[in-house]
Amino acid sequence: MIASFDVLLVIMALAVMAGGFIGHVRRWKQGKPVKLQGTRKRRVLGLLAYILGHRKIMEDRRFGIPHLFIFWGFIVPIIIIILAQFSFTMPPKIAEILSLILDICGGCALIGTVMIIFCRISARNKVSGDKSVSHLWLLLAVLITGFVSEGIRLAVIPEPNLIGSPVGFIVSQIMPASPLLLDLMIRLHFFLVLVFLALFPFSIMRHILAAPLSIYCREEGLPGELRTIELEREPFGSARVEDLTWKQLLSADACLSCGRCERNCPAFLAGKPLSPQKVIRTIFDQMDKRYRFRHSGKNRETDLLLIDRESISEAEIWSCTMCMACVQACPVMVQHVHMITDMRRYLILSKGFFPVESKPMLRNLEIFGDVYGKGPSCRTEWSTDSNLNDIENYQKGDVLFWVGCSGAFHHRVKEISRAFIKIMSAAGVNTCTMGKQELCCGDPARRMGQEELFQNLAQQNIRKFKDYGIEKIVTFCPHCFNIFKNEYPHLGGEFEVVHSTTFLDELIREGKIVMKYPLSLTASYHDPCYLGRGNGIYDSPRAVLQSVPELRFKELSRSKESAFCCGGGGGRMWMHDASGSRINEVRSTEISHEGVDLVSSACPYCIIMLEDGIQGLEVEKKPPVLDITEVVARSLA
Amino acid sequence: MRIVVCVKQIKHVYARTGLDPEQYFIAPEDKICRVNPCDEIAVEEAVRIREKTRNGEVFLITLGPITAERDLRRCLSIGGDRLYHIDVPDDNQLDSWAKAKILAGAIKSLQCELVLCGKESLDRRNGMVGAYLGHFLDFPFVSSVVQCEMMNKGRVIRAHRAIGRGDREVIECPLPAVLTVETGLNDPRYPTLIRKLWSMQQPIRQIDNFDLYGNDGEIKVKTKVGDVSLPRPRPRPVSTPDSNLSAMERIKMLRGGGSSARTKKSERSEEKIIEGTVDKQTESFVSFLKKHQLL
Repeated sequence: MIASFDVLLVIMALAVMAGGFIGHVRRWKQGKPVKLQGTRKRRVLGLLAYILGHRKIMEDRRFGIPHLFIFWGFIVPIIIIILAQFSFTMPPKIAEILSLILDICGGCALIGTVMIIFCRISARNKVSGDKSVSHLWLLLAVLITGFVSEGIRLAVIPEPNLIGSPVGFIVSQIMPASPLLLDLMIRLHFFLVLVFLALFPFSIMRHILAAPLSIYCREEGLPGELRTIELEREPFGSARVEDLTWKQLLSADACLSCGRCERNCPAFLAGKPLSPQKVIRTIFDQMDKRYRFRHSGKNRETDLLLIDRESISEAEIWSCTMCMACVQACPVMVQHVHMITDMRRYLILSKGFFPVESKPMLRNLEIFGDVYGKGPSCRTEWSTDSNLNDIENYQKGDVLFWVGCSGAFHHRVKEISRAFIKIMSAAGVNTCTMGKQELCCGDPARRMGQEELFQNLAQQNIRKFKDYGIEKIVTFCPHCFNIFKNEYPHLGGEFEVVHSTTFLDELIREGKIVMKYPLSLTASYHDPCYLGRGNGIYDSPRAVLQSVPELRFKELSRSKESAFCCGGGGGRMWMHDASGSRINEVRSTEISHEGVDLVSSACPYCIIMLEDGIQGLEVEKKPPVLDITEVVARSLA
Repeated sequence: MRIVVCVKQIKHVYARTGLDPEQYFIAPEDKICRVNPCDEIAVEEAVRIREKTRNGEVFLITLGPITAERDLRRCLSIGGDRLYHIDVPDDNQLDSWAKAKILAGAIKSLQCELVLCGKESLDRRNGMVGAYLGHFLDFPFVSSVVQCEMMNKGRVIRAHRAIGRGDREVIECPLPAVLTVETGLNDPRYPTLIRKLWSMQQPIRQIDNFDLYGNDGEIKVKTKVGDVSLPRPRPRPVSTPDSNLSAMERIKMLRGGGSSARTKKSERSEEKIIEGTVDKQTESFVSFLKKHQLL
């Protein structure tokens, strides 16, 4: 069935394709080495589950459904066509069913291609990034010539096979029955398929190599966790593409400018200069440029900086709130937050450049160990209860209540700490606090990129925990919770860390907390980024709210995985808003439209940001913002 | 061109005061030691001058026991080359004259062209060491510098002084000179991690060619501190709660804005500020009234 000249053409096309893909692999290898996490079996199973399930891709229905069509519309026919090259006899019924499957797949692929071309062109104005469709026209031509060939074949050799090839049958009604035209069409189809294959690595279809590999090499930990780096010698963080790991460069290659990260990024939606998509595309372009410069044969020395006027500006990097919405939305597992953190680390550790308004905060952390600069002796001012147990009286089985910098010093968050202590004493749980020995957990320093300061604070905290024999830590701040749970273990401190909402949920279910007084209000819950997306805790806060008598719960429109950030994370609480609108005002406006009587959250940053935002709105009814612990304390018997 | 910067280590002065009447309640509970912020600005200025003249060295010199080593090394990492230390055993007894005499002896041995200090330190706020240094070294002295430039190929310095209410005095003086800098001169740079790691490896060089004691065995000082006391706060009218109550309850009342009846000591433990939902408050209030047989 296939002549030898055709075999030569096929080999040439495959060689061009292989050469292009090898070029891509060489580009990734410019990055630093890094080990893959997890076992091979888990990674392979994860990849298969992802591809066969298509769940992540289907999160955006507009592109997910056509992708599903095209994907299955190709995999199945390819398998069948390859099998069909081997001559063996098949019972006619099976052949008919296979032919029907082929036709349906081809039809789906055709519909999917048309849908994707349409959607991608219409998305050009709304979202940035390169929305090229050139290769898709080629794909469309391949499919059309395929169906036309089939139609002519059926016109020439009419088989009354409506069941076997429905689309072909319809096409055959309008095609002339000419064997010459049939031959021409088949040749054209064959040629177009070869060109399509050969151009895979140079077009949008390169994602069939990079995307599955990126999913195979995905990060195992929770999204809230950052990579710990050694601070022995330069480079610290990433100044250039070769400072990123090959996994990061691979994921930048897998990016297709689908724009989901941008559509969900709170900084972008508030009009700030940051676009996660642009960051990743810039990394890809630099990777490509550097590779080409080095291998152009002209032996040019290049020094392409990632952070430059032409590439990524510093304002973009500092606009990020590290809310992980981009990471959550990305279908090819690109970790934008890790790359931005690496660039921040370079800026702070290697150059000492950062927004000048946050310098007092960093200096306070260095000198006093807390972000407000009040000093350790003022850490116990928040508690009016003189019975509060200090760490010196710690006994095995006690729970350490980690108050945090905001809980100890901020006038609004002190009330949350007091409410929590009230609940603990009502529930009869033995808690103690670190008192004056508490230092900042290090989250603001780490998110801003100051690894050295974070590791200093963390090691002091870990030493104190170990000296006192602490086992269980409860905190109401998701940033402290995330750091203790996910990042302290890498520095040698493994403790059992529980967030206050999970703890309260357990106590309510055990009956140790009785909520007697009803709150007959409609309440909504704003998911904190580090509790929700960062650590996957969505249900316990809602369960706690549902157990308050007479409380009606209303879910916000953007909640759970797609919750909108309050704008306080990533060190942005201590930075000015240089451009665009304020993220907390955007979120507060959104919440006020829901018409609820009470807004609750589980993070001190969110509470501060939302309260500020709601106070600034011009509406008649300004819902109060309460923490979950405060809601429970109000209803407590 | 060699620049020497005098750097002072101070204790955190805005900490909660201590509990010891012998120390006049001023011993701070926080044992936080840091470098005087004006001296940090002086280091930054020295580094900038060195960058402008393109060659030169910046030496840091500190007097007294090393209490803030980490912050001192951080100052070094801003741009200093060497760190010198004069180990005086007990600098609480020394006054500005004695300190400046010792420093001047050390600086003479270092042979520099410019000496920079902070205008005043946050703990004592004397501001005299710079002036005495100028006298002992026989250098011209300019204080409260908020801007300075090198002129005439590095032989003359032009300094702008802040003399209050935004006025400026421009003074030119030949090098070598002593300058005292004020906040507002510059914003010290944030040192890079490489510089910090380098500064951790640097040795602290000792200078010990000083003599503290006079012929009679006493420390040579011109003045002695007799007494330190905090000023009495200005009185402010405030509604005083019932003095029968304990301090904790009085504080709670002031915070909560309520008033409580005069009760017997045995029942005092039941007093509290009622918080919570309206239902809860009502129930607690009604039970309170019933218990005290007011209903």
